[in-house]
Amino acid sequence: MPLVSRQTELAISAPVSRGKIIQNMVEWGHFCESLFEATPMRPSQLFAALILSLAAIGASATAQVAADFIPRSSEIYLEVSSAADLQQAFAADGPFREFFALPGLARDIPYPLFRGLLDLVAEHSSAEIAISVETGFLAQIEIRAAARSQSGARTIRTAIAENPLFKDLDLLPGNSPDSFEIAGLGEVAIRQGFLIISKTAKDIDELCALKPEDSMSQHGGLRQLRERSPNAQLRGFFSRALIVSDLKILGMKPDNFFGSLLLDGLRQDLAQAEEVFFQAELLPEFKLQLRGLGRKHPRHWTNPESDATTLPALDHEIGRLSLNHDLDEFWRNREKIVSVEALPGLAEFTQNFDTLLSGISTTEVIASLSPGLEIVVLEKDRSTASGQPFLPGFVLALNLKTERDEEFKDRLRVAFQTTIGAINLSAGAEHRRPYLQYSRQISGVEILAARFVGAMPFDEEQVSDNFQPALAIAGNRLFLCSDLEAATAAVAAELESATNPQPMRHQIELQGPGVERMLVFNRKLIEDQRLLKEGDTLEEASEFSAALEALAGSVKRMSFSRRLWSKGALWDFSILRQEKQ
Amino acid sequence: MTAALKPFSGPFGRPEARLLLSRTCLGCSSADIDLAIELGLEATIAKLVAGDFGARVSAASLARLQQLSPNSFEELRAGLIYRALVGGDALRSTMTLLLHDHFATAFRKVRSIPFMTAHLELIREHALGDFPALLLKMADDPAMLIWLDGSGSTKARPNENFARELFELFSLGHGHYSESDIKAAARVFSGRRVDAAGTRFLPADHDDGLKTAFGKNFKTEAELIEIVVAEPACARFVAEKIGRHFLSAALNDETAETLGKALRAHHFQLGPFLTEVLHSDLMYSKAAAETRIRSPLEFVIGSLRALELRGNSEALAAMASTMGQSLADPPSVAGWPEGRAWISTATIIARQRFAIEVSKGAKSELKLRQRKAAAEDLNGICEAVLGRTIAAAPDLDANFFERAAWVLSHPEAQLI
Repeated sequence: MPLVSRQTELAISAPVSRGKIIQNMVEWGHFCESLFEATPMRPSQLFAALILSLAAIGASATAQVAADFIPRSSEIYLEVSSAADLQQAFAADGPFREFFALPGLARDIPYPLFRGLLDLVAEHSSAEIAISVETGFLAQIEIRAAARSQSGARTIRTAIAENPLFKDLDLLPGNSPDSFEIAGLGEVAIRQGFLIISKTAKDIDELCALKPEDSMSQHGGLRQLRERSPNAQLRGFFSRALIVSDLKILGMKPDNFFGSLLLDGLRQDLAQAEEVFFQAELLPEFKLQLRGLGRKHPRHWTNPESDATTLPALDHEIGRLSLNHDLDEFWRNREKIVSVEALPGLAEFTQNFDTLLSGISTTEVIASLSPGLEIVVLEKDRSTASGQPFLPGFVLALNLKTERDEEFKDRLRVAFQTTIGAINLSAGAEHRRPYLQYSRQISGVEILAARFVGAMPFDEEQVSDNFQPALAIAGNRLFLCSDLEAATAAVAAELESATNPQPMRHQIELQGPGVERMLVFNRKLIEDQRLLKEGDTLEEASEFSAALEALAGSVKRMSFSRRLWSKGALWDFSILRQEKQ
Repeated sequence: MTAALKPFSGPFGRPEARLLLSRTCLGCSSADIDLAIELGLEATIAKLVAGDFGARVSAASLARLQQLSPNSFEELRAGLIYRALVGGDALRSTMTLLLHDHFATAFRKVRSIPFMTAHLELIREHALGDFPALLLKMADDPAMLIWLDGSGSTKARPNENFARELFELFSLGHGHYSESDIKAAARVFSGRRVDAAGTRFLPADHDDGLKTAFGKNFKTEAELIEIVVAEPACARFVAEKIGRHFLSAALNDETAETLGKALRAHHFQLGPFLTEVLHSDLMYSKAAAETRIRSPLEFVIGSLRALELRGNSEALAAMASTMGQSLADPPSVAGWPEGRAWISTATIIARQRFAIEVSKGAKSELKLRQRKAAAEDLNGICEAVLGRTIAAAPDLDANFFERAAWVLSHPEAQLI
């Protein structure tokens, strides 16, 4: 029986049949968009979005989803220690209030009704009744109240009928003898000792027909989670999730090599896993851990033995992506990694890149790289910027193998200059300003840079306005940067860190305040995009951008890291919320 | 001033209001028609010309429309579509599209978003204004100079392309000018160069000598334009083009001549001229109704306006392209071939595909949503799209979008 067995648990679960998931996964992109539209995606929504997105990653890789590759079930359980805590969790300032911003829930079940229902449960049954709210892949929400006895369930049923809050609702006979329906809220049924409120009678039938193995309860997961959690005592309530799956679909080959470099290690973690285990805690810091139990990874998906070092934190850093891949290994396996359809495009790219390398080849350059790749995103000085979008600065850091000589490094410098020259060739025809190449010395390190010639009255070409590239090689670290300012910061940090190198982790990190400032600065651009691509009014677009800003502003730091352990992969995802002023 | 066109004196009912709005606003909803009837013919036309009719969004949103600054070709086109879909200045949008076709400048050669944006803004600004002033501005417009090779034209080697099209396509029509007129005009447009900053005037390359065209002497571009619009063929040529859009695809000689006189009487001021045309008997002639095949943009934008829908403007522009009308990228200097040329085996399938996309509603690539409640039954949708009900309409077990798609796939939905 998939319904919650403990009367003090609040469950938000989605025990969905495989067929239903297949159908829903086809529409997952649409759903994610809806979810995104429902921002502010406060932590609880992020949590739900993450779970759903992870499960859907594989589906995006192919249009043909095989049933065997789909997770058996996906459940999110929210626990409370008492009926009072349950009320507190969904109070106006409670951590789960934001669930009502989800499209399905907001539309189908108004918050006051839900609150009323909780109050009613607390008043009439104390610890006798549990409520479970089910959310599916399309944010279809069901509320279930589970009672220990028929009489408890009937008490609730009667109370709903008599409660003034629900007086405007039509209480209708249900589609089965032991159920009734509340228009606007859903179908209510008493089954197997449980009072069930669901959107439709059909859903109730499906729910009750689920086999035990479809539910996490079968695994005793909830109890195990409670025992393992280090922060169980923190605030009286916390959230956890479990996905039991065999996500073999994630092993499908991607179409894009560079996308694969960024994401497919993650996909492989899930693909190799025979069972994936999530654990999350909401307060004070939202943390989610995933452990994939399964086979070992091919070498190119990660590089646990790497001695790559990380670039120290730069001033005004707002984000960082560190990939501890062996790029040479990755490149040599490219034909195994990407789909056959993607290979011609990759060959064309290699050919074009070879031309710019003036005598050395793409393969030779990649073979000269030691493991580790980092992209650092920086806030730029906005005082001289014009128009939108205002892009952040970035630093791409690669590591050269120590045996590479100065001539090889000069070849890379020539390749940079050739590329700038090639861009200049088309500048006249496309009415763009050409680049002027120049160099600067920072503590003995030469930085090659390019800047636009003169000011441009038509400053609408803001994207190019934001990009005046620079290249530097400090020791064995190669930097390709968006501008001289970023290159200077990277070189200075590299020189400082030479005495105290830190190992590189496989991680992504974002600083909320910096992201928020970027969003604020590009507000008009974001709003314009909503107008043009969604048909929004300005008011709707403004609401959307304000929600995005609020979301970024509510997060102090968000990080994701990944490492391998003996039986699979271990992911850590955390959101540290910004302290309220 | 005595009107050159016979004013309409009949009752201004639903069919007349629909005819007026569907031709001036690309499309109209039942609510638009109700409003027009309530206002009456005079006030409706006044509001249309003033840009104050049928706005779908707030004043703040409309103000933002003025500031949309595209970063890509797709955004440039989407901006135009969005404006036509929601603006209260739909007549100006209609005229902008008409004059964009008239001056037919294409992004694929201009290759500059700022220049193409400025070109279309120039047209919009003058769409209900002074036509000779627009002609004169075109001579310095960076996009036009790139498109017709005016950039780099010098006194020593004046390029004749712009001068030729100025006469043949923009003002007089074929057969109303001579080669020597072109050569003289090319001289006056010399001395311009387009660079990243826009159009630069280079006095050393400009021929400021005395020239002769159409038997008259001139020295400056403004003097040449004055001579051109004074030519008898000019008013008829421009007025006929406008008349073919608003009145009937097949104007007879007499009507074209009358329209030309009206335009000249209004000193080529497009707003006052259009006001007279919209008040005229010709506008509401039943014989003229549904004689023209909707252009792809009229079909796409008009359908959404009629059904009170909103959606992804980029996708709408792309869809119109597959139907044969790639906004901001006309096929040649002559603009888009019209009439029956809009319909081919390929484009009719594209039009059908649009209907199929409509049937998917929010899940389509157009991301369609209802802006406000509209008639959802089949008859109501037929009335909104076609202006009449269909006697043999089936009892469709379908939602609003599927019903709308059924109506849009009808041949009558392709006519205006």
